[in-house]
Amino acid sequence: MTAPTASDLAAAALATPAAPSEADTADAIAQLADVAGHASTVLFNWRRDNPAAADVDRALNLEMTLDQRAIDLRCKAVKLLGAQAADAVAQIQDAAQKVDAFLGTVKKIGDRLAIASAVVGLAGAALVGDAGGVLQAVVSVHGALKAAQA
Amino acid sequence: MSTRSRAARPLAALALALLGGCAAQMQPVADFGAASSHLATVYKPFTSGLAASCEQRERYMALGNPGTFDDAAADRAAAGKCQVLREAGTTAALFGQALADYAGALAKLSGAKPTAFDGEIKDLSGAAEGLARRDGTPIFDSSKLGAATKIARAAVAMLTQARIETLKRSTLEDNQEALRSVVEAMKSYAGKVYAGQLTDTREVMRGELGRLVAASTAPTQADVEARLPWRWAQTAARADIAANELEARRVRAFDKSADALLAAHADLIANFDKIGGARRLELVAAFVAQVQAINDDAAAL
Repeated sequence: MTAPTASDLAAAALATPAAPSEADTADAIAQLADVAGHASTVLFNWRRDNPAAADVDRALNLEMTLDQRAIDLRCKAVKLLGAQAADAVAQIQDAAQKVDAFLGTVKKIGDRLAIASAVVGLAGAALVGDAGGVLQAVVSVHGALKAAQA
Repeated sequence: MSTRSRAARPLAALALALLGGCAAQMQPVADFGAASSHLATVYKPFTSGLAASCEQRERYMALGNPGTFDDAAADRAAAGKCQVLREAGTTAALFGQALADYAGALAKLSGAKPTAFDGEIKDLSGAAEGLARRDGTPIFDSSKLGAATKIARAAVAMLTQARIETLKRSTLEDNQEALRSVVEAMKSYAGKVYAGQLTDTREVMRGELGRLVAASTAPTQADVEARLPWRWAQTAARADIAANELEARRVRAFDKSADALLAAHADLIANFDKIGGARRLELVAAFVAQVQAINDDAAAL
């Protein structure tokens, strides 16, 4: 078996699939990048191991082209991932903000609860021996809380 | 015992029992938040690693090119060529940031205390206790006042806790699909894009190491001196390859951890009412430990 020339390697590299369309998935584009990157590496190692080969300049040019293609395709894959996941990223970041807003609201509720708890405390002390009075005061806390949360 | 006290005790006991049940549900969600946060932390270096690996490959390739060679110029050229990947890494970092934000939100919800108003209630109760008639006797019976404020505290906590529980459950349910999309994007970035770049860089470095080894061969003792630069250079090349392989292992471990995290999230929703069954969180913890072990390997390099 004869050793492959730069032309053989170039032909193999160029036989890789055509440039991806917008419909291709990020994974498919990343796979194309791998093909281009691998072909570039093969050419690099061939050139380094065969410095006296006649078509070494051609190998270098093609290697650089494929190397740049791999970079561009990886960049495209990440951008596509970003576009595909943009809504999901926005949604879970929005969820995080809603939690912050909710916990902020809880603190505001706390201010209003201060009044309600005072009612309970005073009613509980004033209505000594009146079981219904204490329970009524608890109900008033529920009411105050619901009003504050509304 | 007064009629009021007899009526108050069962209510307070019921309130406290319900609160105890709610608190038991907090820990798995807190654990999940912590595991998500760890995963986001593990992922973060991957985003800057893409361009860094690209630059390393370009520097190695420049070593093998004909013509003049200037180390600093080669660095600048590599940085310029890989600049687009640095920008792409910024996009990829958004996925990890979103996961970290989500983890933080869950941790906050899990850590929210239903007794947050204890201080205010206690202060008011204390102020009421301090009120006295002209003759110095207290206006309010302190023991009964204490019982009333205890009930108030429990009632407030129950309602607040119920709101937190509802929000926690709806947060999990509403964001299941969004979380899956974000984590899948992270997996694709790490497992396809970044892993591919690491492989390309590793193959170039391995080729160069092989040539360094070949160039290091000295047929005679007299040839040794001239081969020393190639022999010394092997150490740096091997270290670069080892670091690359380590990063590739991290990426593979991340992929498994991400799958386990998604499964744990689904389990949290499915078992929210019997939350102790979220056993897959243990898997997430195990994988995080695995990644930690890999990081420890790196520190030992």
